Amino acid sequence: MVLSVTEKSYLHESLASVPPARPDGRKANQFRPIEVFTDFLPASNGSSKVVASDGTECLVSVKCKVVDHAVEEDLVVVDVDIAGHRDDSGLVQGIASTLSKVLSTQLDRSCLRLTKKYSFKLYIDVLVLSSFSHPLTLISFAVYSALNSTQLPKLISSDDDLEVAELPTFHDYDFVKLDVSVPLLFTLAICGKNVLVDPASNESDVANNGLLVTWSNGKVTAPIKTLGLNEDYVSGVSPQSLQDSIKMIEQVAPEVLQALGGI
Amino acid sequence: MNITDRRRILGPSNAKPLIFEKPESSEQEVQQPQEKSNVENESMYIKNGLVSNANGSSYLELKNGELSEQCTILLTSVYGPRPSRGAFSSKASLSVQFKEVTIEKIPSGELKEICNFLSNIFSAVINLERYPKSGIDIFLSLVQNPTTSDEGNLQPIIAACVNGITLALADAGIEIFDTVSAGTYKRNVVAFSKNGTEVVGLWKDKEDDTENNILNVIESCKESYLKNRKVIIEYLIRSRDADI
Amino acid sequence: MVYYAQSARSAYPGQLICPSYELEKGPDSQKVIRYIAGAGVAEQDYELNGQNILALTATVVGEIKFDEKTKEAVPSAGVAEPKEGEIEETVSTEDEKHYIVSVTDKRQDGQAVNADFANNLPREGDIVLARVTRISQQRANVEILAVENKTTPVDSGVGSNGTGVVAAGGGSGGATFSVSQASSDLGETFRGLISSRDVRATDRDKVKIIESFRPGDIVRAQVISLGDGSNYHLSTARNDLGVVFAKACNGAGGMMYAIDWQTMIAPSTGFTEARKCAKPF
Repeated sequence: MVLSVTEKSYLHESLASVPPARPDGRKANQFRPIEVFTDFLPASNGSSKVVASDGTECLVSVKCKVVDHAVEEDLVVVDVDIAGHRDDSGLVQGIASTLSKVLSTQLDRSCLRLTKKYSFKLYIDVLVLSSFSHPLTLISFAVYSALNSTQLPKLISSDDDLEVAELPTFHDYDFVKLDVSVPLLFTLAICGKNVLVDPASNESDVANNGLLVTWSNGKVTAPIKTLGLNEDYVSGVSPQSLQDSIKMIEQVAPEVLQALGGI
Repeated sequence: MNITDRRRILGPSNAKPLIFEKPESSEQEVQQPQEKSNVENESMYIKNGLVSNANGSSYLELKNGELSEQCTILLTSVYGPRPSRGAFSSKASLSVQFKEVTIEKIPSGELKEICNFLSNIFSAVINLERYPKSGIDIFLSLVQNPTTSDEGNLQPIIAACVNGITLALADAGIEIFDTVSAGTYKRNVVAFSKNGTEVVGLWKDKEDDTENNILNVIESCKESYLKNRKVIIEYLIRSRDADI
Repeated sequence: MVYYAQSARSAYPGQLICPSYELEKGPDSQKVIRYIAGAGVAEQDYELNGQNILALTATVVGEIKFDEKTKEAVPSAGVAEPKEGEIEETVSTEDEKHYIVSVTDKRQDGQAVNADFANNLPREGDIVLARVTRISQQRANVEILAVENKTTPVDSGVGSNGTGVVAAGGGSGGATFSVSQASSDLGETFRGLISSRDVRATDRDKVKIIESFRPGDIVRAQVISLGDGSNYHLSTARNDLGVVFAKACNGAGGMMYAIDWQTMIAPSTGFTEARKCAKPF
C-alpha cells in the first residue's frame, strides 16, 4: 500500500518516539508470525515454504549434485527470483550475491564432503512469490529450514576413492540428513534512535536506514551492511544505533533459532 | 589451384606487408601527474572536471601504502539533473553505475551490491528535493584495480567510490548536505557525515577476529574518514580559489 | 557575535554557516535575527549536548552571502519560507530581521548568462524562455531553454501590469538567465506545454494556437505548474509574455518584429503573421 506524505510523516514520528509505536503493535524486537512448511517438494532434496503474516511467501528448494571438488570451486549456488522484480534489478542481484557469499563462505564444506574426490554441490533456488517488505529475513529463514530438512543420498561405496576410477554409488532409498549450521540474515530498520527488527513494508518506507546483520555459529558476524529500505527518509544514523542493532540481534537470534529448530 | 578473390581489389602480386620499426622508448613511460598536491601517508591525487561532457567529474588516484607499486584509479562522472520521463516525482531519482573499465575482476552481483550501497548513501546526502522531475546519474569507472581477484578486497575501492562521488557532485554544483567521505579499517568501510557523528553507510564483509565491538571499528574508520575529508575539502577550496 | 556581519568566507558542502536564528543584543533592546536558507544552503538538524539545533549548512562550494530581506521581496531561491508562527509567540514585541543566506559561486556572479541550470530548475512562477517544437489545436509543445533568474525588481515588486515579479521595464531586459546545457537533439531538455487556454488572458476559449505560435518560435512564458511526469505547464497569459523571436514563413524567411500584441512583421517583405507577442519594452 502506498502511503501519503502525511501518513508517512505520522508513522515516522510514531516509530521514532520512545518507546516506538509500531503500526501492528509489535515490540521493537518482535518478529511477525510466520508459517513454515518443509520437505514438500518430492523432486528436491530439501524444500521449505515460509509465509509471513502480511502475505509474503517464499519458497526454497535445495537440490544436490555430485561434483569433483578439485574442479568445482563453489559448492553452493544460490539463485533468487522475486516476483515483480526483474532478474537484473539491484534488489534481486544484491540479495542473490549476499546470500551466495554468506552461504559459500560460512557453510562448512566438510559437511558436503562425500569421498576424497567428490563432494555434494548444493543448488539453492529461492522463489519469492509475493513480497511487500525487504524479503531478506524471510528468505534467510526459508533457506535455513530448507537446508535443515535436506536429505542427501547415502553413500555405500568406499569414501577413499583416490585410486578408484569409478563414481561413488549410493543406497537405493536411504538418505542421510544434512547436518550443517546455517547462517541467518536479519534486516533491521533504524528509525530515529530506535532499532526495529523485521520491518514491515510500511515501516521500511519511513526508516532512516536499514541494516543487514548476519548470525552464524552463535555470534554476530560479517557481512554487516547498511541497506536502502526507501529513498525518502534515508539519512545518517548514529553509531550507537548500529551497536544497538547488533545487541538486539545477539539477544533475539538464539530465540529465533530455537523456534526454527522446533520444526 | 589458384583462386583469386574477385570480391576484393588485390594489391600487386609482389606486394609485401608493412612492417613497423620497434619503438625505441619503452611503453612504460607513464606521465607523472603534475599536481601532486595532497600527499598523505595514504596518498591521494585528485583532479576534478576532466570529463568535459559531464556536469561534474572527479579523477582519483589512490596509493594504498608505500609498498604497492600500482594504485587504484577511479573516474567518476555526474550527469544531470536531466529530465526523467514517466511518472511525476517531486524529487530527483538517483542512479549509480559502477564499471570496471579494464579487467573485470569483481563479480557482477557484487557490483550491483556496491551500486545499491552507494546509491543508498547518496540518497541521504544529495538534496534531492531541489531537483523535481529529474534524474541524476552517477557513473563510476574503475580504471585500475591493484587488488587481485581472489582476495576480494573491495574496501579501498568502495571508499574511493564514496570520495569520488562526493568530489564529482561538488564539481557539478549539485547540492549535497555534507562532504561525505568514507574511511576504511581492516575489512570495514564506514561512510560518515556531519563530521563523523552520523554513519550513512557501513560495509563489513569479512570477519576479523580481533575487533568484536562495532563502535571500536567505527572509531577506527573515523580516523581515516577525517583524514580523507580534510584532503577533499582542502582540494575543493584550493581549486576554487585558483579559478578565481 | 553576529553572523551576518562577518566578512565573506569560502564554504564547502556541509560547512556550518550559522544557526537558524540568533539574538542581537543592543544596549537597550534586542533583535531577533532569522536566517533563511537561500540558494546553495540547507537547514539541517544538529545534535549538540543532547539538544537538537537547527542550523544552516552550505551545500555547494562557493562564497557565503547574507542578504537582508525586506518584507515584500521574494527569497532568491524560495526554498524555505520561515515558519513565522514559531517565533511570534515568544518574541512578538522585539524587532525581527530576516537574512537570506546563500552560497554562490563567484565565477558566475554578475554575468548575464550563467551555466548553472542544474540548481535553477524551473519552478512554479519562474519565467522561462522556450522554443516551440510542435503545435496542435489544443496546445503548443515547447522545450525549455533557459530560466530567468529572479531579480529584485526596481518597482518594488509590482510589475508593469500590477502583479508578479517582472524585471525592470517589463521585458526580460534586466534579467540574467540560467541556460540549459542539454542538447535538444538528445531529447534531454525539459519539456513544457502551453495549453490553448493559457495563451492569453482574454477570450481564452477562442484562441487558435496556429495564430499564436509556430514551431521554432522563441517564447517567454511563465511556469504555472510542474505538470505531469513529462511536461511543465506554461502560460503566456500576460502582457510581457509571448513570442519574443520568430522567423517569417515557418522559419524560411527573415526575423520578424512585433508591431502589436498579435501581429509580427517581416521588414524585408512587409508580410505580417499572427503571433501572441510579448510586450518588448
